Amino acid sequence: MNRKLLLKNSLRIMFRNKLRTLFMSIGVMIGVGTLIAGQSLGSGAEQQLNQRVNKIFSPGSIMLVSGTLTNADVEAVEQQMEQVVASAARFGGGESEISYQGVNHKAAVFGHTVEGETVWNRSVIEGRYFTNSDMSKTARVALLGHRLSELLFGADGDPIGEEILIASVPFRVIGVLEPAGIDPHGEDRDEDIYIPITTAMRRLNNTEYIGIAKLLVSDLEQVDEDADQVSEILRKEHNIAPGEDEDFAIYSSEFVGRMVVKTNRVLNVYMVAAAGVVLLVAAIVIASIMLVVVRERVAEIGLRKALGATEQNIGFQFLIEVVSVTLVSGLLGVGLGLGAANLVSLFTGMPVIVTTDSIALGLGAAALVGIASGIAPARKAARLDPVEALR
Amino acid sequence: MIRLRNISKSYQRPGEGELKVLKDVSFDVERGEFVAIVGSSGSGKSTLMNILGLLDSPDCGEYELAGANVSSLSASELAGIRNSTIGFVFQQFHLLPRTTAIENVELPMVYSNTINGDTRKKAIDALCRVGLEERLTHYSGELSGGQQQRVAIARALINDPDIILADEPTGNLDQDSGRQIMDLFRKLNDAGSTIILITHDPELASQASRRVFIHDGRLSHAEAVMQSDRINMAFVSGSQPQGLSHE
Ligand SMILES: Nc1ncnc2c1ncn2[C@@H]1O[C@H](COP(=O)(O)OP(=O)(O)OP(=O)(O)O)[C@@H](O)[C@H]1O
Ligand SMILES: [Mg+2]
Repeated sequence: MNRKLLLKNSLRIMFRNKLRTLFMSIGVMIGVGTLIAGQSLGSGAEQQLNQRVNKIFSPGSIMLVSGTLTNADVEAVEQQMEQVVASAARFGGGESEISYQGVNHKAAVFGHTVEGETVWNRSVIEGRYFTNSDMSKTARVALLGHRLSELLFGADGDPIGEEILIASVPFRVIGVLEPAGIDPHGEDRDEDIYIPITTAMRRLNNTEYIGIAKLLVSDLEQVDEDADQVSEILRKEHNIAPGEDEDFAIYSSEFVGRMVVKTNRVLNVYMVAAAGVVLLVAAIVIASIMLVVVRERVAEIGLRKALGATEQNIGFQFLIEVVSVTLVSGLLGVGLGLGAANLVSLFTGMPVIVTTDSIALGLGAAALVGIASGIAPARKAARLDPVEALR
Repeated sequence: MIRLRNISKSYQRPGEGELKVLKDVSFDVERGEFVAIVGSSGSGKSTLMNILGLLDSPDCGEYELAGANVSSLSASELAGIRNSTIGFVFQQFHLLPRTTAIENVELPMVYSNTINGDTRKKAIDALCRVGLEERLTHYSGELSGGQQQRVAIARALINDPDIILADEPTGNLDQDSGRQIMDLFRKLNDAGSTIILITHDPELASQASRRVFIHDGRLSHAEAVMQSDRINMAFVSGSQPQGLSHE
């Protein structure tokens, strides 16, 4: 068999019936497009979420959250666990009114320690971070997120050394925080304001409870086990009897990482399922169109058989015709999907990650749809009796 | 070239029982012959041609084609023989629609295992042989009936078949075009092609070098026909063909 000639022949036939070919393509294009867009945005979202989560839950970190957490609790953990290499408490996060020369803005106020700069992984891009002397003096100094700084001082303003009011208490601005972007909850962390934790607890809130502490452990492989040990120490510190509910919560970076992946998987599964349904419908449409095509081309099939085509030749031809249409549609679908993903990205800022795997998956799905929907028509054509077909 | 022995073919008609279409047909064709099979409508001509062309198989009897007993061959072997040994010409032309003359003529080469090289050039040569050098890239719909049939003949010739089987090739043509087609067949026969022409028209058949009559599924063999003497025929056997006057 002269495959080149047959392929030329078949492609011409498919190209001739443009409208019909379009109907056959559309489902595959949408299905593959959905698949590709879903995969690309999904990978992008996963990467973005991971980056955001990693900023707070950097690998090897454990977070203690409790309304009754004290510095003594954290010290107890640090003393009893040598694998804890660093820790930093963080206070608050409640909103307060910030004002500068009549410009008012609400912002989340956090109390941070000196160690917070490294443990919480956020330094300054201008000015200086807190010092031990700020802590001991409960100094009224503040670090601004760069968005908040812009809101108060304008884009070109210099906030360093200026005096602002936090809940009517005057503070001096000593630095601007590194950009942190949007956190996993959707809050803009660049509108935050940091003050020394001692100032926040004693001057502003008059409380002993720190709220949150972050621990860094030495062995990334042992984070889950370490978290369990922290939990035991805290139960003792808080005098919680066995079986009684804890008044604290502990999250490890491992645990959060697993949650992120799981949420993303669920999203991905929905997209894949939606694409699957579209492709299934496409396959049914293509199969029924091709059955009609076979009926229309009965005389051609009979003629080809008379001219020496075997059953395999005829079946192969119809399969090739369908698969070439679905493959080309698949390619267009990949383009469509990437276009849609980039459009979504343009409006939402979500990153798009294109992997060869996802493109291979899309084209594979297109070929599969072609084969699945082409088999019945191809068999029907192959088995036509040439005598009846030519009558 | 062709040797048929005691071929029978019948169709099962639900409710009506068996319909015998070919009855004990024996028939030989030598290489280079131009044989006409003549018979009225429903006499079994096309059924016979389908068997000769390996598109259908007989219920019983023997068929030898170019020395091979075809009853023992598989479906794909038969397809291969159709491709290389037989050239079909149909009453309805059976050209592919919206396809150029060249591409129509190329079609048998798609299924050929032996043809290689420039299929397009071969197609053009074949079209020149049937006098269509001016219509190479015309679509089937842009050709007259006679031209379409000549494309079909070029297609039948393309793989250098041993036999050309033509079933009522002029049936859908006016007299002039029909005459051209017959001239073409005679020229091809002069050049060595073996041709079997199937027709209901005894006059057309008289242009063949030999006529065989089929009536109600039985063959009757006539002696060679002289161009000038179409009516005086000595039948070797069987009944007088339909459509001829009694003398
Ligand atoms: N598949 C079939 N089933 C039942 N009967 C059939 C079938 N094919 C042909 N016949 C019958 O066999 C007989 C011979 O048919 P055939 O087509 O060979 O005739 P023909 O000589 O070619 O006639 P025409 O000149 O009209 O083409 C007819 O009576 C026809 O009805
Ligand atoms: Mg007939």
